[in-house]
Amino acid sequence: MTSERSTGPLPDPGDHTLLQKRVDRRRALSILLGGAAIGTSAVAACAPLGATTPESKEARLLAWREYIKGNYRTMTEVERAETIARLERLAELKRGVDVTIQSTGAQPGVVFGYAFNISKCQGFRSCIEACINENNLDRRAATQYIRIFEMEDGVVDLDHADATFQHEVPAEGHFYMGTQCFQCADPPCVKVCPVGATWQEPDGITVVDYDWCIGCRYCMAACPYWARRFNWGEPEVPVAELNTNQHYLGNRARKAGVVEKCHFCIHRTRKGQLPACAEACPTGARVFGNLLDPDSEIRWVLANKRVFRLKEDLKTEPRFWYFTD
Amino acid sequence: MSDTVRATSPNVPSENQDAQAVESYLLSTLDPVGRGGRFWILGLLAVVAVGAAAWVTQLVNGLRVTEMRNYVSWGAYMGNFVFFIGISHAGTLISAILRVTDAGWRRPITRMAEAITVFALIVGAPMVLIDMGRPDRVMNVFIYGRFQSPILWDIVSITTYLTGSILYLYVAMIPDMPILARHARERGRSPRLVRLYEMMSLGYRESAEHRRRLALALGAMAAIIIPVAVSVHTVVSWVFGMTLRPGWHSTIFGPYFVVGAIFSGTAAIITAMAIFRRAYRLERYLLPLHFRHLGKLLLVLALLYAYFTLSEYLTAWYGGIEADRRLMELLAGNTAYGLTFWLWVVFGLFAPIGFLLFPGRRSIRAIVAASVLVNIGMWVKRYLIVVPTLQTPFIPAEAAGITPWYFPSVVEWAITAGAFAAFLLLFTLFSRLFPILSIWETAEDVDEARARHVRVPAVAAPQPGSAVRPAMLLVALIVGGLTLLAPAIPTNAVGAQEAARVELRRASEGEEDVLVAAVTVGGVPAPGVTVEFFAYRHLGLLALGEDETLDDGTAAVSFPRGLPGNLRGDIRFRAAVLSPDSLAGAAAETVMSGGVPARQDAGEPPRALWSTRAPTGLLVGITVLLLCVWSTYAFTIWQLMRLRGIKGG
Repeated sequence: MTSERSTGPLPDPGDHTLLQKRVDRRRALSILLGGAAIGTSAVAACAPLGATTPESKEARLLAWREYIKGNYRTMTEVERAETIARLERLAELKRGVDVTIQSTGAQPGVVFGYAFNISKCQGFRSCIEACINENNLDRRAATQYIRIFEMEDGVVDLDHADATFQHEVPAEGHFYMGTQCFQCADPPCVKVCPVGATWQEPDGITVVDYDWCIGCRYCMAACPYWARRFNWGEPEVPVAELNTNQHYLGNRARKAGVVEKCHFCIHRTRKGQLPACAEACPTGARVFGNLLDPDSEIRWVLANKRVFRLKEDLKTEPRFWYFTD
Repeated sequence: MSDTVRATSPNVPSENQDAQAVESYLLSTLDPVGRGGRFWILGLLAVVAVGAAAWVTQLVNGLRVTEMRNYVSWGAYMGNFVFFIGISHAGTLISAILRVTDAGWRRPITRMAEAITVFALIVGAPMVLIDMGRPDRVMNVFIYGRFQSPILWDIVSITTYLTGSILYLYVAMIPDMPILARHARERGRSPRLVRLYEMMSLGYRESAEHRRRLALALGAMAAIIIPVAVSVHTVVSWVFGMTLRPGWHSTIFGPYFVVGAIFSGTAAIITAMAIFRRAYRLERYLLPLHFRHLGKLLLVLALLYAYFTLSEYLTAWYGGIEADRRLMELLAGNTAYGLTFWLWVVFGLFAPIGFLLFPGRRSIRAIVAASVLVNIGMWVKRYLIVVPTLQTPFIPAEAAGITPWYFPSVVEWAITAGAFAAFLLLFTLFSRLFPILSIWETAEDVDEARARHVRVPAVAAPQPGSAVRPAMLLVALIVGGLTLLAPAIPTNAVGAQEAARVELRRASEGEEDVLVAAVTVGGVPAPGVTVEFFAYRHLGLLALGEDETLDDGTAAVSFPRGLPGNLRGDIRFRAAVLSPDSLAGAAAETVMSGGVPARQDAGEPPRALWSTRAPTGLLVGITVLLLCVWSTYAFTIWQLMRLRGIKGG
């Protein structure tokens, strides 16, 4: 067997023979019934069985290689480039879309923070829509990272808040408050992950490696802010609505059985753009910035406004503040 | 129960029993099953098959087939897990504690108890696997396990417990093996079965030296399995207790779960005793005395559990912190959960206590009824620990427009039924292969002459150089070196319009550093041009000020002090022409040093619960505990290995 590794998606002989082993349906079926260990991945890998076009063969090979890769954090730069090449090719083969997946790392001297002006928010929910489109959120399960709560003026009382309002906004005598992942500095979700599939990046964003998560959902139980979402089934995003600007740790395609969450639009913010929610907000209620930059807008808000954080007593140190004008 | 009990006096083994009679009677339980037995086994197999089919459905379609959703993200599977791990405590308590304290009446029930432990673990532990979204990636736990996660503690302690309880069950079975081999040979059973028994006997014979070795092994296991069992249920409770959830985040959760486990485990033993007593006609050995002793224990545990429950929920309700109050309204208020909770209090707690306090004349029936109620009740209670808490997060459910109601789907019920059937099936098959009452121990009970040769030694000292392989050491903690790459930003001037050209540089003006932009049009300095200066930040531009060019075509602002730069302290500046309009748009960008270098944090994050590397104390603690336990296992195995070498008999 040649040990030469091609950078492209060409199969090497070793994997080739391995693939030719599984061809007939009965065998696949017996694997299905008996192979609890192979489990759902076998199903995914055998899905295009029957069709034996070169494309489907290549897709199976790539899917297998993807399946046996490691944790993103332990990959070398070369391995990262390889997995990204495979993922991009797979998207092309399976869905016919040309996606670009970045692996942009955390920028030095940057820690992201968010501030939300509850005096300004009018409950338009443009942020939610932008987030769904930007991050390729599952349309079938209607997943959303952001919620906008409508509350009566006077007190922040989530007990009597409504996130399903269907009337003209802003409603008289009400105010609006958005929640999403607060990117805690001491994240309880990361503490409990048994496999290191979720971690805090140096710029403060807590990310998930969708290809490493085992789906135990302990992080969901541990998060006091209900910021995490699980893919109970295979997520569906229409090709026409797919955002092809993706990040490995961000909005790339997720699979069934893994957890995902808001990542402050890592594919945008690491390149100096605002997250989609902040950009979409028509009222200017959302302030996003670099906490390490003394001249940033967020630092100005923190220095000059009365700010508070939700459930601050839990001491998870959210990097998401609320303020009023 | 047909009460044609053969025992004449309830407390004394009746008739002229001797070791021989015990042996032949107990061996008769291994006779081929009748029609009823076959139907029982086939029925269980059918239910297991339904459960397996349900699991395949779930593997193919994903967890969508369950009723769990983002709010209630754990459900019946976790309830099953806690329940089975709970009843697995039967074996430890009854067998190990009674063995350590040398309570004579334990003998006929030890094997049953130990078997419950093993099978409950075998069925209960995979519940977590079934609950996982990606069970195919379970190996990640071993490749990249984080010891900061209570799930890892669970995996380690349950593995340790399962290994230990299999070993413990087996050690206590060894003296029966030669008897079984002889019996199988006499009856002309399959040679393979005979070989199995012979292999499992490890050459054990009735001799003083063999007995001594076995007692040593058994004593060591009995002593070590108690703390292991306590740790297992404590750790299971910590999976819940370590989160910040109302109803879970409680300091009494460890002991609360341990007591609940022993409670349900004792009830499981009594139930199993009643079933086997009837199925195998064991009234002669499973006496009312055994039921009464265990009944008393069950009563104490019921009262203890009631006390813990009161303490836990009264505190939460009285204190009335927002999240606790919401939980208590759901759990004990006018809701479906409230109804279930109070039904449990009445039928799962008070009714058994009543039965046990006043057993009346037909005491066995009352005690067994209490046990069955406790078993059902404890499953319900586990469910009530898992689900309502998930339904009351800090950010209230109703507000988010999601109905947070959860009731297991058909698939979840099928898998649950399959799990219970698998447990019963394993137990049944076990009792077909090995007598469910320990022959040698029961014989001990009736044969005074042989009594008391099992002495319990002090806790075995760890053996140096033994083949201890704690799971800890197998799992390498890989530290992710996070390399922050310093982007090398090239200097490039963006000359926009052919007419105007801007050059940006740093200069000293007296004592002050300034940022100077020189504007030229066609090579000639352009005066009276307004130039705005910026510094690039990670998100957008920071305006530094504007200035009008002098006659030499230069405009300047003071060089900003203390502005954060990149790793080398470089900052990218921009100068852009604002007016006149004819020149607007011309701009220049230059990267200059003079900023505060960004701190590059060391590649390794601190040792913290949330970071990659576990705190040292945690690792040391887990390692020491595991070393203690596994070296005791090694000691036991070493004793067993030497059984064959013993001469004489």
